[in-house]
Amino acid sequence: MTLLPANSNFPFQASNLADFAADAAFAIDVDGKIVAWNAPAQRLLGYAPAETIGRHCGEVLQATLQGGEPLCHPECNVIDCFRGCRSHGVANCRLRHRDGEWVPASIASVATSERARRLSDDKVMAVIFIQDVVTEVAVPQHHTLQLFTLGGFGIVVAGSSVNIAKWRRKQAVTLLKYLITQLDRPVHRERLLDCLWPGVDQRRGLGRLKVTMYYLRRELRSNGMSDEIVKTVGDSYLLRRDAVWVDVDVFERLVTEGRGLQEQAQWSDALDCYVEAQRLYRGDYLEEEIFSDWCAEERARLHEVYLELLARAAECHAELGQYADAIQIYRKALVFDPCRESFHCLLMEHLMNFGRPDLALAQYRHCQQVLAREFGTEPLAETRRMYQEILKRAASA
Amino acid sequence: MVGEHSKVSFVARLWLEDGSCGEKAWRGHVRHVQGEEEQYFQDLLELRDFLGRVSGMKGPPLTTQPLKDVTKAE
Repeated sequence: MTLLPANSNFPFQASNLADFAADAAFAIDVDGKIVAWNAPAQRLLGYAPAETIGRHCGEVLQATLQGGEPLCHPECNVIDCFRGCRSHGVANCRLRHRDGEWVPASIASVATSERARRLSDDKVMAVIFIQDVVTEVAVPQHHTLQLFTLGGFGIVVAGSSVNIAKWRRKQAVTLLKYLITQLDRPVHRERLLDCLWPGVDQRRGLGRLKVTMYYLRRELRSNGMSDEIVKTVGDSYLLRRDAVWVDVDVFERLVTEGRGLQEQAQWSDALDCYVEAQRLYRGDYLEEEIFSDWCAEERARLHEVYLELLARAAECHAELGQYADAIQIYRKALVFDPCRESFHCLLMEHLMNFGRPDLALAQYRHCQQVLAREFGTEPLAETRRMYQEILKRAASA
Repeated sequence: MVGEHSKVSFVARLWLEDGSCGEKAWRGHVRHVQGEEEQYFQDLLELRDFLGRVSGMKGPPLTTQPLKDVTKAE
Protein backbone atom coordinates (compact mmCIF):
# COMPACT_ATOMS: atom_id res chain seq x y z
CA MET A 1 0.00 0.00 0.00
CA THR A 2 1.27 3.46 -0.84
CA LEU A 3 1.21 5.74 2.22
CA LEU A 4 0.42 9.38 1.90
CA PRO A 5 3.05 11.60 3.57
CA ALA A 6 1.96 13.04 6.92
CA ASN A 7 1.68 16.54 5.47
CA SER A 8 -0.33 15.43 2.45
CA ASN A 9 -3.32 17.47 1.44
CA PHE A 10 -6.37 15.39 2.37
CA PRO A 11 -9.32 14.74 1.97
CA PHE A 12 -9.15 11.49 0.13
CA GLN A 13 -9.24 11.70 -3.65
CA ALA A 14 -10.67 9.02 -5.90
CA SER A 15 -7.28 8.58 -7.59
CA ASN A 16 -6.06 7.17 -4.26
CA LEU A 17 -8.21 4.13 -5.02
CA ALA A 18 -5.94 3.36 -7.93
CA ASP A 19 -2.88 3.96 -5.76
CA PHE A 20 -4.14 1.73 -2.95
CA ALA A 21 -5.66 -1.07 -5.10
CA ALA A 22 -4.15 -4.55 -5.05
CA ASP A 23 -5.40 -5.07 -8.63
CA ALA A 24 -4.08 -3.24 -11.67
CA ALA A 25 -5.89 0.11 -11.68
CA PHE A 26 -5.80 3.55 -13.16
CA ALA A 27 -7.83 6.73 -12.90
CA ILE A 28 -9.12 8.97 -15.68
CA ASP A 29 -10.43 12.52 -15.87
CA VAL A 30 -13.52 13.79 -17.69
CA ASP A 31 -11.67 13.71 -21.02
CA GLY A 32 -10.67 10.08 -20.56
CA LYS A 33 -7.06 11.01 -19.90
CA ILE A 34 -5.12 8.93 -17.42
CA VAL A 35 -4.27 10.78 -14.20
CA ALA A 36 -3.09 7.87 -12.04
CA TRP A 37 -1.53 4.49 -12.92
CA ASN A 38 -0.56 1.99 -10.24
CA ALA A 39 2.29 -0.49 -9.91
CA PRO A 40 0.16 -3.63 -10.65
CA ALA A 41 -0.99 -1.94 -13.88
CA GLN A 42 2.64 -1.42 -14.81
CA ARG A 43 3.39 -5.08 -14.12
CA LEU A 44 0.38 -6.26 -16.13
CA LEU A 45 0.68 -4.00 -19.17
CA GLY A 46 4.32 -2.95 -19.15
CA TYR A 47 3.81 0.83 -19.08
CA ALA A 48 5.39 3.00 -16.40
CA PRO A 49 3.19 5.80 -15.04
CA ALA A 50 5.22 8.42 -16.89
CA GLU A 51 4.32 6.65 -20.16
CA THR A 52 0.58 6.72 -19.52
CA ILE A 53 -0.32 9.79 -17.49
CA GLY A 54 -1.77 12.48 -19.72
CA ARG A 55 -2.62 10.02 -22.51
CA HIS A 56 -6.13 8.93 -23.44
CA CYS A 57 -7.01 5.58 -21.83
CA GLY A 58 -8.14 4.08 -25.14
CA GLU A 59 -4.83 4.93 -26.74
CA VAL A 60 -2.98 3.02 -24.00
CA LEU A 61 -5.30 0.02 -23.50
CA GLN A 62 -6.38 -0.55 -27.15
CA ALA A 63 -8.96 -2.94 -25.70
CA THR A 64 -10.84 -5.39 -27.90
CA LEU A 65 -13.33 -8.17 -27.34
CA GLN A 66 -11.98 -11.68 -27.59
CA GLY A 67 -13.10 -11.85 -31.20
CA GLY A 68 -11.10 -8.74 -32.09
CA GLU A 69 -13.88 -6.14 -32.17
CA PRO A 70 -12.43 -2.91 -30.77
CA LEU A 71 -13.73 -1.64 -27.43
CA CYS A 72 -11.53 1.44 -27.47
CA HIS A 73 -12.46 3.76 -30.34
CA PRO A 74 -13.29 7.45 -30.81
CA GLU A 75 -17.04 6.87 -30.34
CA CYS A 76 -16.48 4.82 -27.19
CA ASN A 77 -19.62 5.05 -25.07
CA VAL A 78 -17.85 4.01 -21.88
CA ILE A 79 -16.63 7.58 -21.31
CA ASP A 80 -20.26 8.73 -21.67
CA CYS A 81 -21.28 6.14 -19.06
CA PHE A 82 -18.71 7.55 -16.67
CA ARG A 83 -19.86 11.11 -17.37
CA GLY A 84 -23.35 9.96 -16.39
CA CYS A 85 -21.87 8.54 -13.16
CA ARG A 86 -22.50 4.99 -14.35
CA SER A 87 -19.83 2.36 -13.82
CA HIS A 88 -18.96 -0.01 -16.63
CA GLY A 89 -17.33 -3.40 -16.90
CA VAL A 90 -16.34 -5.95 -19.49
CA ALA A 91 -16.17 -9.61 -18.57
CA ASN A 92 -13.69 -10.90 -21.15
CA CYS A 93 -11.56 -8.70 -23.32
CA ARG A 94 -7.98 -8.17 -24.45
CA LEU A 95 -5.64 -5.32 -23.71
CA ARG A 96 -2.47 -4.45 -25.59
CA HIS A 97 0.72 -4.88 -23.65
CA ARG A 98 3.48 -2.35 -24.22
CA ASP A 99 5.46 -4.97 -26.14
CA GLY A 100 2.52 -5.61 -28.47
CA GLU A 101 1.21 -8.87 -27.00
CA TRP A 102 -2.45 -9.27 -26.05
CA VAL A 103 -3.31 -9.65 -22.38
CA PRO A 104 -6.68 -11.32 -21.60
CA ALA A 105 -8.45 -9.33 -18.91
CA SER A 106 -11.68 -8.28 -17.28
CA ILE A 107 -12.44 -4.68 -16.48
CA ALA A 108 -14.48 -3.16 -13.66
CA SER A 109 -14.84 0.46 -12.68
CA VAL A 110 -16.09 2.99 -10.17
CA ALA A 111 -17.47 6.29 -11.48
CA THR A 112 -17.73 9.49 -9.44
CA SER A 113 -20.48 12.05 -9.73
CA GLU A 114 -19.87 15.56 -11.03
CA ARG A 115 -21.14 16.93 -7.76
CA ALA A 116 -18.71 14.83 -5.71
CA ARG A 117 -15.84 15.91 -7.93
CA ARG A 118 -16.76 19.55 -7.61
CA LEU A 119 -17.13 19.41 -3.83
CA SER A 120 -13.86 17.58 -3.23
CA ASP A 121 -12.02 19.40 -6.04
CA ASP A 122 -11.16 16.06 -7.58
CA LYS A 123 -10.55 15.69 -11.31
CA VAL A 124 -10.99 11.90 -11.34
CA MET A 125 -14.14 10.84 -13.21
CA ALA A 126 -13.59 7.09 -12.89
CA VAL A 127 -11.20 4.51 -11.52
CA ILE A 128 -10.80 1.43 -13.69
CA PHE A 129 -9.68 -1.92 -12.29
CA ILE A 130 -8.13 -4.59 -14.51
CA GLN A 131 -8.04 -8.26 -13.63
CA ASP A 132 -5.97 -10.90 -15.29
CA VAL A 133 -8.60 -13.44 -16.41
CA VAL A 134 -6.59 -16.44 -15.27
CA THR A 135 -7.66 -15.48 -11.75
CA GLU A 136 -11.36 -15.34 -12.66
CA VAL A 137 -13.85 -17.45 -10.74
CA ALA A 138 -13.88 -20.99 -12.12
CA VAL A 139 -17.05 -21.99 -13.99
CA PRO A 140 -18.34 -25.53 -13.60
CA GLN A 141 -17.73 -27.42 -16.84
CA HIS A 142 -21.34 -28.36 -17.50
CA HIS A 143 -22.38 -24.67 -17.60
CA THR A 144 -21.41 -23.50 -21.05
CA LEU A 145 -23.54 -20.34 -21.09
CA GLN A 146 -22.25 -17.66 -18.77
CA LEU A 147 -24.34 -14.56 -18.14
CA PHE A 148 -22.66 -11.51 -16.64
CA THR A 149 -25.07 -9.06 -15.06
CA LEU A 150 -22.87 -7.22 -12.56
CA GLY A 151 -21.44 -4.33 -14.55
CA GLY A 152 -21.69 -4.36 -18.34
CA PHE A 153 -23.97 -7.15 -19.53
CA GLY A 154 -22.11 -9.98 -21.21
CA ILE A 155 -22.75 -13.43 -22.60
CA VAL A 156 -19.96 -15.97 -22.85
CA VAL A 157 -20.40 -19.35 -24.53
CA ALA A 158 -17.75 -21.99 -24.02
CA GLY A 159 -15.26 -19.32 -22.96
CA SER A 160 -15.84 -16.91 -25.86
CA SER A 161 -17.69 -13.60 -25.64
CA VAL A 162 -20.83 -13.30 -27.71
CA ASN A 163 -20.85 -9.97 -29.50
CA ILE A 164 -24.35 -8.82 -28.58
CA ALA A 165 -23.61 -5.32 -29.91
CA LYS A 166 -23.97 -6.85 -33.36
CA TRP A 167 -27.39 -8.43 -32.71
CA ARG A 168 -29.90 -6.86 -35.07
CA ARG A 169 -32.75 -7.29 -32.63
CA LYS A 170 -31.69 -5.35 -29.54
CA GLN A 171 -34.89 -6.36 -27.77
CA ALA A 172 -33.62 -9.94 -27.74
CA VAL A 173 -30.93 -8.82 -25.29
CA THR A 174 -33.52 -7.03 -23.14
CA LEU A 175 -35.73 -10.10 -23.26
CA LEU A 176 -32.86 -12.27 -22.04
CA LYS A 177 -32.04 -9.78 -19.27
CA TYR A 178 -35.64 -9.77 -18.09
CA LEU A 179 -35.73 -13.56 -17.99
CA ILE A 180 -32.51 -13.55 -15.96
CA THR A 181 -34.21 -11.42 -13.29
CA GLN A 182 -36.84 -14.18 -13.03
CA LEU A 183 -34.44 -17.10 -13.30
CA ASP A 184 -36.20 -20.48 -13.26
CA ARG A 185 -39.61 -18.80 -12.91
CA PRO A 186 -42.17 -18.78 -15.71
CA VAL A 187 -42.82 -15.26 -16.98
CA HIS A 188 -46.18 -14.74 -18.66
CA ARG A 189 -45.92 -13.27 -22.13
CA GLU A 190 -48.17 -10.34 -21.17
CA ARG A 191 -45.62 -9.31 -18.58
CA LEU A 192 -42.93 -9.44 -21.26
CA LEU A 193 -45.08 -7.34 -23.59
CA ASP A 194 -45.58 -4.77 -20.86
CA CYS A 195 -41.85 -4.60 -20.28
CA LEU A 196 -40.58 -4.63 -23.86
CA TRP A 197 -43.40 -3.00 -25.84
CA PRO A 198 -45.56 -1.01 -23.43
CA GLY A 199 -48.52 0.61 -25.11
CA VAL A 200 -48.44 -1.70 -28.16
CA ASP A 201 -51.67 -3.62 -28.79
CA GLN A 202 -51.62 -7.23 -27.78
CA ARG A 203 -51.82 -8.81 -31.22
CA ARG A 204 -48.86 -6.83 -32.57
CA GLY A 205 -46.97 -7.26 -29.31
CA LEU A 206 -47.34 -11.03 -29.34
CA GLY A 207 -46.08 -11.10 -32.89
CA ARG A 208 -43.01 -9.12 -31.93
CA LEU A 209 -42.42 -11.31 -28.89
CA LYS A 210 -42.57 -14.46 -31.00
CA VAL A 211 -40.07 -13.08 -33.52
CA THR A 212 -37.76 -11.77 -30.79
CA MET A 213 -37.80 -15.07 -28.91
CA TYR A 214 -37.09 -16.95 -32.13
CA TYR A 215 -34.15 -14.59 -32.79
CA LEU A 216 -32.78 -15.01 -29.26
CA ARG A 217 -32.90 -18.78 -29.44
CA ARG A 218 -31.31 -18.75 -32.87
CA GLU A 219 -28.46 -16.48 -31.75
CA LEU A 220 -27.76 -18.68 -28.74
CA ARG A 221 -27.76 -21.78 -30.94
CA SER A 222 -25.49 -20.16 -33.51
CA ASN A 223 -23.05 -19.43 -30.69
CA GLY A 224 -22.85 -23.06 -29.73
CA MET A 225 -25.70 -23.56 -27.28
CA SER A 226 -27.40 -26.85 -28.06
CA ASP A 227 -29.67 -26.91 -25.00
CA GLU A 228 -33.03 -25.24 -24.89
CA ILE A 229 -32.02 -22.50 -22.48
CA VAL A 230 -35.36 -20.74 -22.65
CA LYS A 231 -38.29 -23.09 -22.14
CA THR A 232 -41.84 -22.41 -23.23
CA VAL A 233 -44.29 -23.24 -20.45
CA GLY A 234 -47.84 -22.64 -21.70
CA ASP A 235 -48.14 -18.88 -22.25
CA SER A 236 -44.94 -18.23 -20.33
CA TYR A 237 -41.23 -18.41 -20.88
CA LEU A 238 -38.65 -19.62 -18.39
CA LEU A 239 -34.85 -19.29 -18.36
CA ARG A 240 -33.50 -22.54 -16.95
CA ARG A 241 -31.21 -22.09 -13.96
CA ASP A 242 -29.58 -25.49 -14.54
CA ALA A 243 -28.52 -24.50 -18.07
CA VAL A 244 -26.76 -21.24 -17.24
CA TRP A 245 -24.10 -19.81 -15.00
CA VAL A 246 -25.06 -16.37 -13.74
CA ASP A 247 -22.53 -14.20 -11.96
CA VAL A 248 -25.00 -12.79 -9.46
CA ASP A 249 -25.88 -16.29 -8.22
CA VAL A 250 -22.24 -17.03 -7.54
CA PHE A 251 -21.74 -13.59 -6.01
CA GLU A 252 -24.50 -14.13 -3.46
CA ARG A 253 -23.41 -17.67 -2.72
CA LEU A 254 -19.88 -16.45 -1.96
CA VAL A 255 -21.18 -13.71 0.34
CA THR A 256 -23.31 -16.25 2.21
CA GLU A 257 -20.42 -18.68 2.53
CA GLY A 258 -18.14 -15.93 3.73
CA ARG A 259 -20.70 -14.84 6.29
CA GLY A 260 -20.90 -18.37 7.68
CA LEU A 261 -17.11 -18.68 7.92
CA GLN A 262 -16.81 -15.27 9.52
CA GLU A 263 -19.33 -16.23 12.18
CA GLN A 264 -17.03 -19.12 13.03
CA ALA A 265 -14.09 -16.69 13.29
CA GLN A 266 -12.44 -18.24 10.22
CA TRP A 267 -11.26 -14.86 8.99
CA SER A 268 -8.88 -15.95 6.22
CA ASP A 269 -11.31 -18.43 4.70
CA ALA A 270 -14.09 -15.87 4.87
CA LEU A 271 -11.82 -13.37 3.14
CA ASP A 272 -11.18 -15.80 0.31
CA CYS A 273 -14.91 -15.87 -0.36
CA TYR A 274 -15.20 -12.09 -0.11
CA VAL A 275 -12.28 -11.49 -2.46
CA GLU A 276 -13.85 -13.73 -5.11
CA ALA A 277 -17.21 -12.05 -4.60
CA GLN A 278 -15.63 -8.61 -5.03
CA ARG A 279 -14.10 -9.73 -8.32
CA LEU A 280 -17.54 -10.61 -9.59
CA TYR A 281 -19.06 -7.25 -8.68
CA ARG A 282 -17.68 -5.36 -11.67
CA GLY A 283 -20.48 -2.80 -11.51
CA ASP A 284 -24.14 -2.38 -10.69
CA TYR A 285 -26.68 -5.03 -11.66
CA LEU A 286 -27.77 -4.66 -15.29
CA GLU A 287 -26.31 -1.17 -15.23
CA GLU A 288 -27.32 -0.35 -18.81
CA GLU A 289 -30.96 -0.75 -17.80
CA ILE A 290 -30.66 2.28 -15.55
CA PHE A 291 -34.14 3.60 -16.51
CA SER A 292 -35.94 0.25 -16.37
CA ASP A 293 -37.96 -0.30 -13.24
CA TRP A 294 -38.13 -4.10 -13.62
CA CYS A 295 -34.55 -4.47 -12.36
CA ALA A 296 -34.23 -1.34 -10.20
CA GLU A 297 -35.23 -3.05 -6.96
CA GLU A 298 -32.81 -5.93 -7.48
CA ARG A 299 -30.05 -3.46 -8.34
CA ALA A 300 -30.65 -1.57 -5.09
CA ARG A 301 -30.73 -4.82 -3.11
CA LEU A 302 -27.42 -5.98 -4.59
CA HIS A 303 -25.96 -2.52 -3.91
CA GLU A 304 -26.62 -3.20 -0.24
CA VAL A 305 -25.26 -6.75 -0.45
CA TYR A 306 -22.08 -5.37 -1.98
CA LEU A 307 -21.71 -2.81 0.81
CA GLU A 308 -22.27 -5.55 3.37
CA LEU A 309 -19.61 -7.61 1.61
CA LEU A 310 -17.10 -4.76 1.77
CA ALA A 311 -17.85 -4.14 5.45
CA ARG A 312 -17.38 -7.83 6.26
CA ALA A 313 -14.17 -8.06 4.26
CA ALA A 314 -12.80 -5.04 6.11
CA GLU A 315 -13.79 -6.60 9.46
CA CYS A 316 -11.90 -9.80 8.56
CA HIS A 317 -8.81 -7.84 7.59
CA ALA A 318 -9.00 -5.93 10.88
CA GLU A 319 -9.34 -9.18 12.85
CA LEU A 320 -6.16 -10.38 11.15
CA GLY A 321 -4.40 -7.09 11.97
CA GLN A 322 -4.31 -6.17 8.27
CA TYR A 323 -5.24 -2.54 8.79
CA ALA A 324 -3.89 -1.33 5.46
CA ASP A 325 -6.23 -3.71 3.64
CA ALA A 326 -9.14 -2.75 5.88
CA ILE A 327 -8.46 0.92 5.11
CA GLN A 328 -8.38 0.25 1.38
CA ILE A 329 -11.73 -1.50 1.52
CA TYR A 330 -13.47 1.17 3.57
CA ARG A 331 -12.22 3.77 1.10
CA LYS A 332 -13.57 1.70 -1.76
CA ALA A 333 -16.90 1.44 0.05
CA LEU A 334 -17.07 5.19 0.60
CA VAL A 335 -16.44 5.91 -3.08
CA PHE A 336 -19.30 3.53 -3.80
CA ASP A 337 -21.59 5.13 -1.20
CA PRO A 338 -20.13 8.24 0.44
CA CYS A 339 -22.86 8.67 3.07
CA ARG A 340 -22.32 5.58 5.21
CA GLU A 341 -21.28 7.15 8.48
CA SER A 342 -20.37 3.82 10.03
CA PHE A 343 -17.73 3.35 7.31
CA HIS A 344 -16.28 6.79 7.97
CA CYS A 345 -16.12 5.99 11.68
CA LEU A 346 -14.46 2.60 11.18
CA LEU A 347 -12.04 4.07 8.67
CA MET A 348 -11.04 6.66 11.24
CA GLU A 349 -10.45 3.92 13.78
CA HIS A 350 -8.27 1.89 11.45
CA LEU A 351 -6.30 4.91 10.27
CA MET A 352 -5.57 5.57 13.94
CA ASN A 353 -4.53 1.93 14.45
CA PHE A 354 -2.34 2.23 11.37
CA GLY A 355 -0.50 5.13 13.01
CA ARG A 356 -2.02 7.89 10.87
CA PRO A 357 -4.03 10.13 13.23
CA ASP A 358 -3.63 13.01 10.74
CA LEU A 359 -5.55 11.05 8.10
CA ALA A 360 -8.10 9.91 10.69
CA LEU A 361 -8.83 13.51 11.68
CA ALA A 362 -9.07 14.55 8.03
CA GLN A 363 -11.50 11.68 7.47
CA TYR A 364 -13.72 13.03 10.26
CA ARG A 365 -13.80 16.47 8.64
CA HIS A 366 -14.69 14.86 5.32
CA CYS A 367 -17.46 12.87 7.03
CA GLN A 368 -18.80 16.06 8.60
CA GLN A 369 -18.90 17.81 5.22
CA VAL A 370 -20.68 14.92 3.52
CA LEU A 371 -23.33 14.56 6.24
CA ALA A 372 -23.92 18.31 6.37
CA ARG A 373 -24.30 18.49 2.61
CA GLU A 374 -26.53 15.44 2.11
CA PHE A 375 -28.53 15.26 5.33
CA GLY A 376 -28.05 18.68 6.94
CA THR A 377 -26.87 16.95 10.08
CA GLU A 378 -23.83 16.48 12.29
CA PRO A 379 -22.13 13.09 12.77
CA LEU A 380 -23.59 10.77 15.40
CA ALA A 381 -22.27 10.71 18.96
CA GLU A 382 -20.17 7.61 18.30
CA THR A 383 -18.33 9.32 15.44
CA ARG A 384 -17.83 12.49 17.45
CA ARG A 385 -16.53 10.40 20.37
CA MET A 386 -14.05 8.67 18.03
CA TYR A 387 -12.89 12.08 16.81
CA GLN A 388 -12.29 13.31 20.37
CA GLU A 389 -10.42 10.11 21.18
CA ILE A 390 -8.16 10.54 18.14
CA LEU A 391 -7.50 14.18 19.03
CA LYS A 392 -6.49 13.16 22.54
CA ARG A 393 -4.20 10.37 21.35
CA ALA A 394 -2.67 12.56 18.65
CA ALA A 395 -1.99 15.30 21.20
CA SER A 396 -0.32 12.92 23.64
CA ALA A 397 1.85 11.27 20.97
CA MET B 1 -42.43 16.96 -14.30
CA VAL B 2 -43.35 13.64 -15.90
CA GLY B 3 -45.49 13.14 -18.98
CA GLU B 4 -49.11 12.07 -18.81
CA HIS B 5 -48.58 8.46 -19.80
CA SER B 6 -45.09 7.92 -18.39
CA LYS B 7 -44.38 5.31 -15.80
CA VAL B 8 -43.17 6.84 -12.57
CA SER B 9 -41.30 4.74 -10.09
CA PHE B 10 -38.72 5.26 -7.42
CA VAL B 11 -36.36 3.03 -5.51
CA ALA B 12 -35.56 3.98 -1.95
CA ARG B 13 -32.90 2.34 0.20
CA LEU B 14 -32.93 2.80 3.94
CA TRP B 15 -30.26 1.81 6.43
CA LEU B 16 -29.75 2.16 10.12
CA GLU B 17 -26.64 3.93 11.34
CA ASP B 18 -26.11 2.06 14.56
CA GLY B 19 -23.59 3.83 16.78
CA SER B 20 -22.44 1.79 19.75
CA CYS B 21 -23.15 4.72 22.12
CA GLY B 22 -26.86 4.05 21.64
CA GLU B 23 -27.57 6.90 19.25
CA LYS B 24 -29.04 5.49 16.06
CA ALA B 25 -30.35 7.14 12.93
CA TRP B 26 -32.34 5.96 9.96
CA ARG B 27 -31.00 7.37 6.71
CA GLY B 28 -31.99 6.77 3.16
CA HIS B 29 -31.38 7.34 -0.51
CA VAL B 30 -34.09 7.60 -3.16
CA ARG B 31 -33.70 7.52 -6.91
CA HIS B 32 -36.20 8.30 -9.67
CA VAL B 33 -35.89 5.23 -11.90
CA GLN B 34 -36.95 6.88 -15.15
CA GLY B 35 -34.77 9.96 -14.64
CA GLU B 36 -31.49 10.98 -13.09
CA GLU B 37 -32.71 12.68 -9.94
CA GLU B 38 -31.67 11.20 -6.65
CA GLN B 39 -31.38 12.41 -3.11
CA TYR B 40 -30.35 11.33 0.34
CA PHE B 41 -32.86 11.82 3.12
CA GLN B 42 -33.05 11.51 6.87
CA ASP B 43 -36.80 11.67 7.41
CA LEU B 44 -39.88 10.58 5.52
CA LEU B 45 -41.03 14.17 4.92
CA GLU B 46 -37.94 14.74 2.79
CA LEU B 47 -38.71 11.53 0.91
CA ARG B 48 -42.32 12.58 0.38
CA ASP B 49 -41.24 16.02 -0.84
CA PHE B 50 -38.79 14.46 -3.30
CA LEU B 51 -41.48 12.16 -4.71
CA GLY B 52 -43.82 15.11 -5.05
CA ARG B 53 -41.27 17.36 -6.70
CA VAL B 54 -40.13 14.80 -9.26
CA SER B 55 -43.52 13.30 -10.08
CA GLY B 56 -45.53 16.51 -9.99
CA MET B 57 -48.05 14.67 -7.83
CA LYS B 58 -48.44 15.08 -4.09
CA GLY B 59 -46.39 12.44 -2.28
CA PRO B 60 -48.03 9.66 -0.23
CA PRO B 61 -49.57 10.62 3.11
CA LEU B 62 -47.44 9.92 6.15
CA THR B 63 -50.27 9.13 8.52
CA THR B 64 -52.17 5.86 8.71
CA GLN B 65 -55.50 6.05 6.92
CA PRO B 66 -58.41 5.24 9.23
CA LEU B 67 -60.18 1.98 8.36
CA LYS B 68 -63.46 3.73 7.48
CA ASP B 69 -61.73 5.55 4.59
CA VAL B 70 -60.35 2.32 3.19
CA THR B 71 -63.73 0.61 3.18
CA LYS B 72 -65.71 3.64 1.91
CA ALA B 73 -65.97 2.30 -1.63
CA GLU B 74 -67.35 -1.07 -0.50
